[in-house]
Amino acid sequence: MPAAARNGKGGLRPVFVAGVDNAVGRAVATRFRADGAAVFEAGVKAPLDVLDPGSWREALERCTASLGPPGIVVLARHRVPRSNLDSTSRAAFEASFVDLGTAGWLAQQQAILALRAAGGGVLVHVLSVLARVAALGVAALCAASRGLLMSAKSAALECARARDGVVVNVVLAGRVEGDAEHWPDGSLLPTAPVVTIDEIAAAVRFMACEGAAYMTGADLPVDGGFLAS
Amino acid sequence: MLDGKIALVTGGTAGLGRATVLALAAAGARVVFTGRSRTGADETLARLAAIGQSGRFLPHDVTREEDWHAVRDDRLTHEGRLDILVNSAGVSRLRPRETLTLEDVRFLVDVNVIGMFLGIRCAFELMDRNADRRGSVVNISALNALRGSPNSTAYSLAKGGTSQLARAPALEGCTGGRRIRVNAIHPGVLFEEGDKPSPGAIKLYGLEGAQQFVRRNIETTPMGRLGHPRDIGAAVVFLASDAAEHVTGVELTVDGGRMAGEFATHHGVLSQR
Repeated sequence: MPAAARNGKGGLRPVFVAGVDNAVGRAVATRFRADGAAVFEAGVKAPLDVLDPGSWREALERCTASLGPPGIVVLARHRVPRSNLDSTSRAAFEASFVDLGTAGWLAQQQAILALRAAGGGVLVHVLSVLARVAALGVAALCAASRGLLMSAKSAALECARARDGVVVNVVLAGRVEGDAEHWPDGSLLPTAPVVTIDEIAAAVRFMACEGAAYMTGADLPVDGGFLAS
Repeated sequence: MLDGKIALVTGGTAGLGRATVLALAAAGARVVFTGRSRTGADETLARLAAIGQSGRFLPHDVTREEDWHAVRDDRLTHEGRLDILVNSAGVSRLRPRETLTLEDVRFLVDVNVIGMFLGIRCAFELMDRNADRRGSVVNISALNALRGSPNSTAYSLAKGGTSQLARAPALEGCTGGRRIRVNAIHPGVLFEEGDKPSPGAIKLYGLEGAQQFVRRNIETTPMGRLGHPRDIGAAVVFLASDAAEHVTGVELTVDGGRMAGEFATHHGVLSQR
């Protein structure tokens, strides 16, 4: 991983995970703990207002105060709002898009600022394969996912330009098994292969490994070949 | 991460292939590598020894079907199974379109596409004989599979083909009780010796032009440096490992951010030709 993601003793620097209210976020936290990292779970001890940059900043500062400056930030918060064309109002669509897209962008922004302040590090945003392929009745999710994918790539370029030691990459989760927050029922692309939360966590872990230091602005689908078809 | 796995790497006698051999061996795999250069093979074996590892070399031209049969029979004779194939053998001929010959095009397609196809076919045959019918194929492609660049029409044709040689075989790898994963890696511009122009670039652009070519590539790479073959090793190991159990048919860029978006707009030395 980028040197900034390791501490002076060669171990992992603290890992900040947002989205532990869903199974993917919890699996990511478990995966890093298994490798000896100290993990800060955002939104657990203190509520997180995802549309307030100050709330993200405070959470990152609490991580620094309790564990040390984060070297790895994983954004795994996710929702699947239904937004059928026939029955969704402008206000409802906007609320869903803002809850995912704008909140995700704020999280990226504050995470990068925190990583910069810490001397660099790795940001991994866990999004959905619906950033690449559409599904019925989830227009806001598709739009927000694609938007966040592109904003992550744009952020990667900004960080590279700034030579700030921060890399930004994306994991695109397929149809997640056992997580209603990611893939609520069989009506959403029912032919998509089922992916386990541990498989997604393994991809996140890879993105934060030392050998991935030359990767930034990349996206890695974990979908059992779904996008390939 | 790859303890007990048996890996085959084509083009393991130089550059990225050699770095892949070293990365797989360091991760615990038993590695056989192939290529056309005995001298290059000796260098790879020496580098393996330097990190306390060993490997085995097979002379091999990836475009020759009979050579693939020999590799297949050797695998069965010596190891009995194959877990990982890395299709790393590849060639480039960067030339202006008007000077490209049909022989150039055929050569690029033969090595980059046909050689890769033969490798995948051989790997499927061997992995089908594994009791669990599992395996992982990693194709080393190039950014020219995703976008064009000057002087590379034939090269882009060939590398574009390698993209689909990740997707279509990936789907076949999930059929009939198989669990063979197929993925591609698109490296950025790789240089083994920092910013020293390669002989190929000097031949194409002249020394001064080649130096400018290197500078431009550094300027247009967001992370501000060219890649080194070792930058690719960790991605190969991940895709080859059980950690990527549900990753198939994907194309992973390891490119210092080049494909994230346009970073600089000038390609002075290239656009002048």
